[in-house]
Formats: sequence, C-alpha cells, structure tokens
Amino acid sequence: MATNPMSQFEVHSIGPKIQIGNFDFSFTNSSLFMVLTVSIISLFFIGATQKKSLVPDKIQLIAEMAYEFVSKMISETAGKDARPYFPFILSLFLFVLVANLLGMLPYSFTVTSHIIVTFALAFFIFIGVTIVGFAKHGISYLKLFVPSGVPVFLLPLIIVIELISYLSRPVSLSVRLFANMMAGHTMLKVFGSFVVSLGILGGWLPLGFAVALTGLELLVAFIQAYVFAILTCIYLNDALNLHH
Amino acid sequence: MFKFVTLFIFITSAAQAAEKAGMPQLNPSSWFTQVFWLIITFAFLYLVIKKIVFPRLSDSIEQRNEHISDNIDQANSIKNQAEEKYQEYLKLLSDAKKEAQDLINNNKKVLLNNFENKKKEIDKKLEEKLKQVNKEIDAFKKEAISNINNISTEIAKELVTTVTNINVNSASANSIVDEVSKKYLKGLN
Repeated sequence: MATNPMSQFEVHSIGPKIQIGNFDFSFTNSSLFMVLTVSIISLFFIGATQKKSLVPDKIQLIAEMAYEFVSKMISETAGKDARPYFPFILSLFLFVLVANLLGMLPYSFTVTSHIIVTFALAFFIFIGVTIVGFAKHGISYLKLFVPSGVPVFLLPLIIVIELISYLSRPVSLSVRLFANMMAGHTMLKVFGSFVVSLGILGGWLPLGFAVALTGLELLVAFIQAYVFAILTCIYLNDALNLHH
Repeated sequence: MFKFVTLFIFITSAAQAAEKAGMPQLNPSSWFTQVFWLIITFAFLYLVIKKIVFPRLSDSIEQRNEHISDNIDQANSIKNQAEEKYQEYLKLLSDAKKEAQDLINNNKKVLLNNFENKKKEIDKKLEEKLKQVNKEIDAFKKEAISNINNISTEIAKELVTTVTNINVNSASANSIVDEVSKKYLKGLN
C-alpha cells in the first residue's frame, strides 16, 4: 500500500489499453466505479419500484423518499416549469451521492474527486441551462445580465460582473464538489497513515480522528450531492423564469 | 466565452504544473477516458431513470394520492349521509314528541269538557232539587202556620174553659188568636 495520500486518486487502466489515435478509451478504476455507481442506483431503484404497492415496503419507501426529496427541491427552487428536467436532476443527485458514498469505502476510488468528472458534469449543466434559456426566451435571455433598477452609468460594470459570475458557474460548481471530495479523502488517508506510523501506542488519537472524520465525510458526501443538485435547480430557474 | 477559454487554458497549465507535484487529478492523460466513461455511464443512468424509475415512482405515488383522496371523499360522503340520517332521526323524534303532546292536550281538553258538562248537569240537578226542596219547605211552613193558628185557637179555648169555666165559641177565639199571631208574626218578621 502506497503511503502517499494522493495515490488513492490515481487512475490506472484495468484490462487492455484501448487507444484510437490520440484518444484513450481504456477501462480504468474510475470507469469501474462509475459503472458500479450506475449499477447500484439502477438495480436498487428498479428493484424498489418493482411492486408499486399501495403501502410501500422499506425499500420502496426509500426510493419514494429520494423521489419526494428531489421533487420538493425542484419545485421549491425552480418551480413548475422545471418538471421536465426532473429525471435529469434525480439522476444527477443520485449519481453524485452514490459516487461520493462509494468513495467512502476503504480501497475504493472516488469518481467525484476528479476535477475532470465534476467539470464535465458542471459544463454539461452550464451548456444545457444556457440552451434552455435561449430556447425559452430567445435573445431576451441576455436580460439575465442586466439587473433591473440599476443606474445606467453602472450598467457596463454590472454587465461585466454578471457575465463573469455566469461564466464561472461551471468552475465553481465543479471545483466545490471536487475539492470537498479530494480534501476529505486526503485528510482521511493522512490520519490513516498516522495510525500506521504511530503504531499500537500512539495510534489511537489519529484513529479517533479518522473515525470522526469518516462521519463528517459521510455528511459531506450527502451535502455536496445536495448542493450540486440544488445549484443546478437554481441555474435552471434562472434560465426558465429569468428572475433578476 | 473568451473568459472561459482563458480559464480553461489556466486550468490546463495549472494541471501540468501540479502533475509534477503529484496530483493525479491534474494529469490530463486520464481525462479523456474519464469523460468518455462518464458520458456512457451517466447516459445509461439517465435512460434508466427516465424510462423506468421515474414513471414507476410517479405512478405509484400518484396512485397512492388518488387512493387517499378517494378514501377521503368516500369518508366525507358517508359522514354527510350520517349527518342526514341524524337530522332525520331528530325530526322524527320531535314529530313524535309533538304528536304525543297533541294527544295529551286533546285528551286533557276532552276530559275537561266532560268534567265541565258533568258538573253543569249535576249543578242543574242540584238546583232543581234545591228548588223543589225549598218549595216543599215553603208549603210545609204555610201548612205549619195555619196549623199553628188552629192549635193556638184550640189551646186558647181550652185555657179559657179551664180557667173561667166559660164555654167560648170557637169563632171569637179564632179571631183573637189570629189578631195576636199576626201581631207576633209581624214582630218576628
């Protein structure tokens, strides 16, 4: 086992290396955990919704709670118009949540601790929301950058600020998730290596910290998935309802 | 967009710099495969959720809500029915009470009438009896008075005969008695 706390984030291919031109399609540990994440969610939810009973059993109840949770989140932040995007937000929330939680297992790989994964998700959301905004409001979607009630001489400045804040959305969205995941896992690893190096005599204190941090990281895993999904809802709300 | 591109360039250069420091996240060689597999897995997840999980969940939740609202409706209608029945019962009860009261009142009236009639009848009879009795008394009185005169005349004649030994004729004695008794009866009356 490597003692470098960053080695847990290393991506290495499993099986044959598939390379076409300059592009590497190899199946890696990261891919494995993405597949695991998706399989777990799919199997759980398909199994849970198999019976569709009037009085739900425990598993169906969990699935319905997830549904109601996301449903409430969307209707509270983005309103009725966001209903068609419900499956996407639900997928997003579940994907990030389960990926985060799977990463908490020892020796596992955290898909969301890679900036490129979170950035790809955030960038997709950014592009999607922008398309939705322009499709719904046409060119007047640009009004988003012109808040009402601002003095005219301030407008150039405000527009630039609004534009920057809009364009930095995918960055802030992705970095938030990635940094949280990476920092948490690195810290756990550091405390874990302290336990090993201090041995049976001194290792109890870092062990206690590691246990406490595990609890905290479970919370962070949930909160970051929630934040990711709710920020998506807020961006969607901007695009659909053009508040400002 | 320009801002974004510069940011991207910044991140890429930062990645190359950080690669030497040992952050595997910033090693661009693994980026393509990660994004590729992310697209595949996430698209699969989205399809599963959109085509299977979402319809099933919204179905079952909607069905449950419908069932619940149906039950609530049914309960409300039953409650209304019960309320109606209760009102009916109250009406029946009050009708019966009224009827009973009427019956009581009628009977009372009839009884009172009967009593009144009987009383009148008896009063009449009593009055008649009283009148008859009065008449009888009057007749008896008259007879008694005339008898008294006769008796008084006899007594007076007897008295005079015994006291004076004179035989008094009854006519003169009678006229004297008449006179005296008239005087006394006047005083009595």
